[in-house]
Amino acid sequence: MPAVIGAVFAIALYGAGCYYAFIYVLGPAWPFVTVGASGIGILLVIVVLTGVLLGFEGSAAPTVTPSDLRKRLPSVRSNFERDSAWPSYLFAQSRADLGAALGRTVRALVLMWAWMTEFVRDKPAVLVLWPVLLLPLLGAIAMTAGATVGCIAVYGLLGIVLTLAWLGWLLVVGVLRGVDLGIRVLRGAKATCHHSGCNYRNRLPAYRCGCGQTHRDIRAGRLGAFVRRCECGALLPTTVLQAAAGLVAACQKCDRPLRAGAAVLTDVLVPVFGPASAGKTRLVRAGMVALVRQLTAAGGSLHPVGPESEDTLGDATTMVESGAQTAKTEADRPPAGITLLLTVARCKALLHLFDAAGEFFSSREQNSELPFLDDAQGLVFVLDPFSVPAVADDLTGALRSRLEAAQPARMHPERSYLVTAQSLRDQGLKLKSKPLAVAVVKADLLLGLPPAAGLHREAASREVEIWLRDKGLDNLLDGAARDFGLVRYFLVSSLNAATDADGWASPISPAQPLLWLLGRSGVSVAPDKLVAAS
Amino acid sequence: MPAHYLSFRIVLLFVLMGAVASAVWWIAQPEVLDKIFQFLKL
Repeated sequence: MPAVIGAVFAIALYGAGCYYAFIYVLGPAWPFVTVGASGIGILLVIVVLTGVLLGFEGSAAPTVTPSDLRKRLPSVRSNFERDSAWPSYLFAQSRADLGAALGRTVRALVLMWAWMTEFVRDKPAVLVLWPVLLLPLLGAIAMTAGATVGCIAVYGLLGIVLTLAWLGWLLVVGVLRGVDLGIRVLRGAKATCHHSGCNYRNRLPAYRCGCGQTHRDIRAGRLGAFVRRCECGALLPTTVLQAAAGLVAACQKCDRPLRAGAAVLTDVLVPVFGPASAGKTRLVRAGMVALVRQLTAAGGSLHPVGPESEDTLGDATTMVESGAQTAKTEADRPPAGITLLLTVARCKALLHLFDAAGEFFSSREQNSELPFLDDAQGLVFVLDPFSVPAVADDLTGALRSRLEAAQPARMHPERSYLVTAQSLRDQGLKLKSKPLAVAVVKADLLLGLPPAAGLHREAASREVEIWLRDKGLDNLLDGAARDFGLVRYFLVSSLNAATDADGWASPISPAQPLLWLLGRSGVSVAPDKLVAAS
Repeated sequence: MPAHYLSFRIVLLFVLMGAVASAVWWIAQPEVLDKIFQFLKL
């Protein structure tokens, strides 16, 4: 009986204790605990985030480096992987920082709950004091709630800031890309690889940093709006126009360096085609020398770009001035482009001349080895009049020696033209949008001969065309008119530059087809235009 | 760490500090303080 009384008394005492704990401890303390713990929760969010942003020892988020880019950023629509450079903070590091801060806050709360649970599990006796334990439980709940509200407010605010920054970035990138591309499209700028066998042409070359790292897409983007930071730490521009001023451009296909000014200067690509021994090389070389003189007369200039082009122009000048014979073009590999920097009035342009051996134009298989034909502004077809049967057949007797001196092309011009034109059509090229200059060469040997009756030094395109039709080349001429958007015929002598004392190209100058194609590409070097421009 | 990371972090810190300062200023308003004191039964 005394035990029962004792138990009842103990229970009553415990109940009273609980009651008084509720009244005198829990009652007055819970508002303070609630407010204080909520404040601590909010403070926890702010302190952890500040620590991460300031990079305090042990709380800094892992730094997103260029080697992490492929995991952190979406892949690019390109044949190449994303360039190795430091990404913009907005696209990788911001997520890493905010993610790390959020993760640490959640981890702190989880640890707190885990510690409380563990404490009660290890010492279940403390549950006897449950009214008092309600206070830390309330505090933990309030702290968790405070941290949650703090997270929503703080990360929401930073999210809005980052979204605004992202929208600003989008605008800047769009404007930069648009202006950069717009100026270059208006200029007709492209990057042409002059290297033999490549000749890849596009608007966006790769650029090489001083450390050797190649940047395939230098444009503004996730790697930077105004500048990008290479893996080595060097700052690089984000427009092609700026990059061309200080970086080495490289071909996207063969990775070899491009000519200075590639992709920013007006780019004119003129391939010369025709059968072997037609006189293509002579036309190109004498045409280059004539162009130099014409531009000098016009107050402009024409300079070779790159050592190979310098050598070629030097050889061409010697050849034209000495009247030496032209060496046969090597047919073992596709030609490298000859690049000339043309400056006239306020216009600068790169002119690429491609002179492949005639053997490459004898079959469609060999044609396919000449990628520079694909994206040319215009083409020059070299027609050797002495290879036309109607002309050759008229040169008999004493005139036979003139035919032999002309060293006529062995292939009929019609066949050479048709093979090349068919090959270009097969590749799906829109020839209708391109001009074709048909250069009837060797005029110095032809004029004055009986088959040249009707031709003269100043023969206009129509007169040359009529003469060619008269010689039975209707198929070739009709085909050219059908294939190309515009065809013009030139009577040309490539024996020398055929310029007057002032340097202006004469009507039979080998520069005439090139000048016409340059004019069609927006680079007018005609005297009247120059006067107007100046 | 590249400089542009640091610049962005400083901007975010300024925003954060600005938000904290605004919150403190709001809490320090008499009517808000009154409500808090009422809640604390002071």
